[in-house]
Amino acid sequence: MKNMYLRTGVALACAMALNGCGGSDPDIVLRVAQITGLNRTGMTLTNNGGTPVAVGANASSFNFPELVEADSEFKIEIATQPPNAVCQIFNGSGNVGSFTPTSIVITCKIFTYDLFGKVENLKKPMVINNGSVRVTIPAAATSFTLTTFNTAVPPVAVSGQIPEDVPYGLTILEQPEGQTCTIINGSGVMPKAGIPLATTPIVIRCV
Amino acid sequence: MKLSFLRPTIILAAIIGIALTACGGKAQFDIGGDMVARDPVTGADVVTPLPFGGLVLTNSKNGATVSIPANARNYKFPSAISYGEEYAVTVSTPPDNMVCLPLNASDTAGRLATIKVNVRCGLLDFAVGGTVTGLPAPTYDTATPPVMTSKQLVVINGSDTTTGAIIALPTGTAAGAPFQWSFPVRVPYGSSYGLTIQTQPTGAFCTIVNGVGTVRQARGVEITNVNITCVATIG
Repeated sequence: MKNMYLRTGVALACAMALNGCGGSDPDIVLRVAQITGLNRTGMTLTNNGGTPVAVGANASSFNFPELVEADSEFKIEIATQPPNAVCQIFNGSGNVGSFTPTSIVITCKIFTYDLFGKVENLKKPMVINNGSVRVTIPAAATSFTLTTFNTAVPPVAVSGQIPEDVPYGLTILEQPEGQTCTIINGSGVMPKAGIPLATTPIVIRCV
Repeated sequence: MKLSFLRPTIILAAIIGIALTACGGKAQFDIGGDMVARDPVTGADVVTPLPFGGLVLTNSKNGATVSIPANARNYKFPSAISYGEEYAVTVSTPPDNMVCLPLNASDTAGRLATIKVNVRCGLLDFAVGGTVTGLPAPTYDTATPPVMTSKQLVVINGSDTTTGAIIALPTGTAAGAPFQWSFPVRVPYGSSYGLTIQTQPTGAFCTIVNGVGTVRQARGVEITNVNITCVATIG
């Protein structure tokens, strides 16, 4: 459909050029074909520095409300980032006459946080998981975090962090030898500041 | 030479030149390529050592085969083919726990300067689910159109998806009657899963059995023992 708009526009532009009219009516939809990872409101976009327009939460694509002219230049920019997130635009500028209607993409990364919990009376190692993320808690540990860091200096988190507003649900993949543990308050939704060790409600209790 | 297969290109001309000078009119072409996996973020194919063994590729045009061991980064058929010969690389046996697809798998030797057939492999994935029993019917108000007034059962697999999966009675299933369900996102071989309830449905309390595990399934055998039992609550 968008292709048709574009072709119609180009055809129209050609016809006008042949007629020697000069200039053309704006009749092309400027479309961000794909938006990923946006789970909140607050992002605004501009084209050529014009009036910012808001993109809704969970949008997977976006059409600029103002049509653009054939053969004009466009430059889409993120005027406002959504709260606690960073969005990036790819192929955001070009000429309307030569752009592919599927090429403009925005990817958003919501801030992620560590999740901590306390451990009571653990005598042998155990393995917990949050879906596909597995963590081994060593014997005698009194706390754990889901986050795994690499060996760089300073260490960088490589897995286990959870984006804000995303649910988590801890389960026990392997009980410690000779003990049975239960997880208390093991599920919830990641709050804005993460779940630090000092205030975590998550407790693994072993008997 | 099967000239009918050839398209006139500069490369072709160059290769004919090489063929005539170096091999007395018959250039030889190796068939091989890299083992690649698709990057989940960029979608690009990246050279990745094959984690499992057992892969056998066949050139279906001449019946030649090559076995590719675990940890291989690339492969090559044992014998070359002649200029003008057709080739078509197919997977005759996939690696353990994986599925593979040869890319640009077929052509005619000599149309391009070299033959490169990369093989893209990925882990098998499996549905994780079971039987739900005792789930009450949702309730609606009297507005037009009606709006649901009850909460629905929501199940999550850790933080693997940004939102949970709503589990609702399928159309035509009576309230409380058993039905099959599976988590909407399949789980790859070797990955762990931990299904928990994020939201209980109005009017019932549900529990999951066998909700935790690591996928070690045989090819094609889905996980069907993750059962959810709901019991009516009072009030």
